[in-house]
Amino acid sequence: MSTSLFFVIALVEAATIGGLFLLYPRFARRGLLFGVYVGEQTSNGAEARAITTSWYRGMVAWLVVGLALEMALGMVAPKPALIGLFPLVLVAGFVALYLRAYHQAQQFAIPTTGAAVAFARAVPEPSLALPIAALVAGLIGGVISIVYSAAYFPQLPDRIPTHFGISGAPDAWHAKSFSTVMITAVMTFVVGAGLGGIAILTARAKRAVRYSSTALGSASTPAVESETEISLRAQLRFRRALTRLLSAVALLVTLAMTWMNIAIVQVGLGRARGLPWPVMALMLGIVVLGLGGSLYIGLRYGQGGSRLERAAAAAPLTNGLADNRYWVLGAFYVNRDDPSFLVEDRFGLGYTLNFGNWKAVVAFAGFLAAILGLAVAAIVFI
Amino acid sequence: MTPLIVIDWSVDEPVYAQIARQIRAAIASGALSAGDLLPPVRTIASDLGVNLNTVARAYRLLDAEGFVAIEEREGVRVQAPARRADRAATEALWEEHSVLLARMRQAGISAAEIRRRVERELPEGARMEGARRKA
Repeated sequence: MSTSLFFVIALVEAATIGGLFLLYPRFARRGLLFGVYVGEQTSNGAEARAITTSWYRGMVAWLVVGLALEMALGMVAPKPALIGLFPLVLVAGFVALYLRAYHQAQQFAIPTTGAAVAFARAVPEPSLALPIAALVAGLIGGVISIVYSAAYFPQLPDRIPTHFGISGAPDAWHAKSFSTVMITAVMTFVVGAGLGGIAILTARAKRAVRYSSTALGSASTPAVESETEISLRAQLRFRRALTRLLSAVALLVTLAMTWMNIAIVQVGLGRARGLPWPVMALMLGIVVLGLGGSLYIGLRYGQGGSRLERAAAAAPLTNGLADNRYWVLGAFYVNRDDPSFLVEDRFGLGYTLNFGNWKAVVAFAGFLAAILGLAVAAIVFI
Repeated sequence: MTPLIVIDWSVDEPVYAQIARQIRAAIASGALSAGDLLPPVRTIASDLGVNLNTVARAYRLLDAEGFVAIEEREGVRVQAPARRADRAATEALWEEHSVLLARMRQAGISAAEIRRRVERELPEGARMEGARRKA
């Protein structure tokens, strides 16, 4: 890898991943401070600002030092492994600084919340058409890949390409085995269908809205609250946008991986010299769409629609997000009674599991085990 | 505008009873009308962060009281008032009514005030009031 390309990739990584981390406090819903519900007034106060400023300083320092180290190492040896390691270094610093800020925010934690809110009439939810299409495409693309690889297995030579460079040309070969031939096909099935499934669960994730404090007092006659309406609309738009982004990424990943799997077999058979450039461009496009889309949703909508619900931001949060009893380290939601699979993250962008729902834990663990198993198999067999 | 169900964790009233009471109140106030579809059990349970059985119990109670009908495929729908009162149900309701009246009197609410409120809230009462105003 050339030094200049290495520097460009390192800078893009720092700008996108570091940039996203730096923006997290700006995306957060009012009332939450580094994973702790401190109430809408406190989260806007001087103490909260001091914690946030300290976190910003730490994060910027970590980013600058990390990037300088990356650049220095890159000057000596611009290895692709360093490109892979850099995001992990950024994440490690992010986690450490988050935990410090979380513990500082704990002193303002509100022990329990007064209320939870639901709607007595069916209200709009994001459409399931696109996420279901993504799931079905993932299943079909996976089956096509598996059948295609299995069908050409006997015709493939004894040595097959197992790794490809950025140009698309193969740069590593390995002895033919069932694992080396089938691994990409099985990965297509697991990743394509898995991402489609996550998009469906996101579309039906737990709603976290605001309610006017007067709604609690007049609980005997259900209130009609404008703050709740504003918050519900904002939250719905956020969830819809994230569902669409996830579905689009899932569909493109299925397309790219199915295409790539067919191309790998073609290269193995000697019918092509390397992966076609559109596949490589598509892979790059997926990364750009994923990161760019996340940034856009964060800046346009904010986490959970926080940037759209400003008119209602003084009203308290409810529905699980506000209840500190159910959050471990402000990042893990554990509520055994709650049937939700996914709930809104308290800090960051997107959704997290309800670790109190065993079905959600089994589904997630299964998906993770399949990905990790395939990754380990790839390292062991290839 | 969407009627809300607000659960207060600080009171002794069970959650299923709070849900049922507020749906009844929404029907009584007209915020929910006959034919309206209530959210699926899973949606309310997810919104509130409570067990599925808690919401199902509230729906079963409302179904038994005739406020809603649980339909296998369609979901839970608000029911129009029954055309003819069932004898057993009527007896039970009159008994509840007597107890409620006694509780209201005990709480210091005057008979005149109870009468005024009942006249205002019953559709027939509203018509009587209107006729009196015209006269």
